[in-house]
Amino acid sequence: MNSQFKRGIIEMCVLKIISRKDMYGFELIENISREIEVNENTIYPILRRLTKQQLFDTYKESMSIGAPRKYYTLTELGTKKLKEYEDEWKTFLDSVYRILGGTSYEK
Amino acid sequence: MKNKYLEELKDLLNNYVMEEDEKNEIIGDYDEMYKGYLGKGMRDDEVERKLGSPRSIIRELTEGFKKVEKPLPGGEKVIALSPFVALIAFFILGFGFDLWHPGWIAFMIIPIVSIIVEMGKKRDEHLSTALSPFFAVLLFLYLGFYHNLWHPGWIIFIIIPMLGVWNSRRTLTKLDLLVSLSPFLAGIAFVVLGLYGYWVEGWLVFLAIPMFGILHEKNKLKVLIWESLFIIGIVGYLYIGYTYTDMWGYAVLAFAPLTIYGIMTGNIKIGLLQAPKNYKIIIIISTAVFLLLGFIFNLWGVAWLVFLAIPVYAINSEAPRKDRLVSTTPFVALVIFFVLGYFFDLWEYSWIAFLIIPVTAIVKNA
Repeated sequence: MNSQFKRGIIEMCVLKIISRKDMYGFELIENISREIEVNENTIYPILRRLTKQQLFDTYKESMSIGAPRKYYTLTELGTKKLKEYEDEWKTFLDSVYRILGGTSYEK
Repeated sequence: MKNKYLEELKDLLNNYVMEEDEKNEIIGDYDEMYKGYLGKGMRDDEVERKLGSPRSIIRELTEGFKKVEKPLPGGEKVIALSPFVALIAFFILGFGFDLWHPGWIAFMIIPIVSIIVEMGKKRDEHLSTALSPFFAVLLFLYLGFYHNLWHPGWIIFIIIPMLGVWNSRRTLTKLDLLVSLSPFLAGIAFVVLGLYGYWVEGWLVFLAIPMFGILHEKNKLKVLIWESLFIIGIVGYLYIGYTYTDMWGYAVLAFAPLTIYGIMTGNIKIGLLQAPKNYKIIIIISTAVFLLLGFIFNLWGVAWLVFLAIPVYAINSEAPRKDRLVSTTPFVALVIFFVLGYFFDLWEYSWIAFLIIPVTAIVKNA
């Protein structure tokens, strides 16, 4: 798979996973690499880039044991971006399904 | 181990123009992730494999940041003086020792110095790649003029792309590095084997490329089957070729199990069936000419060149009109180079054919 294409998909997955539940970096990497075959060391830079683009906000949460953890949460801009990504993705998949002779991704 | 990892990461981040807070944030995040994995009972080496070595992740982390420039002391002056130094060296060698040739090589000092000073500022990892064409030319000329080894001395130019790949090794896994270098290593091995008269069977070394590539496959059984079929093919091909006279053409049949397995598993696709009509025609004609040259004239060593007609046709029918000429020149150069070398043993001159590539590009874009 084209690496740029894969990177875009991983970005969308990172946004989606965090939209469901705020997560800390290590937890996110574990979650995503369980589902997708991905080089784990590429996820943090993506997370960082998306945070710099203000798609994520971060906050610290103290733990009963050990140092506080940094959690990532989706911003309003992040929610908008995720919606855009999802719409694009559905349109793309629908086209692929049509070409392959199926009906639609939704069905 | 964790501290050493974080220190190395910090050192690498310090090479970039980045706010201190941002660097500390990255270090803090990695510290947290490292601890997280340790907390899951992982060993340090396992954690570092998960997170990636600092050198392999630094490019992604610093995307969009400029490298800190640390000018070499007096670097600009050295660049300014280099033409004079080169000229003086040239005159001394010429007037003093009657070495006008190869004294002209002194002028290479000018670009070499500029590259070292400019790329040295940023400690660019591709410094040696940028310098390699000069050293390759120097070594090539030395081997040619003093030892008459124009051929196979030209192989030294392979060092340029090889260094390019080698210097990118930090962003590659060991296997990717091996796969990326394998075409060059196979090319060298092919020429060396050819020099010893093994042009016909020498192409087998190129099979090292897919053989390494298959190691990416996660299913170990599949890897075992593929590698075994490759080995069976190679051994069978050599056995048939060496046992029976003029049977190299049929010896290719030893790769039938490999091909059949590839088609059955969908790894080898018979592109011809799906290809547009004009491509089908060009592929069939190329194959027919290849077999004709091989079976009738026993020109297996050179007949493969006809297959270059396929990419040339593709370029001329698919590429934008303005790019066609320049894109075609590497193939033309390769044909001239190989034909002159193979048939007339003019390897010492035939490499000049490759100059048509930059010359065409310059003339076209002038």
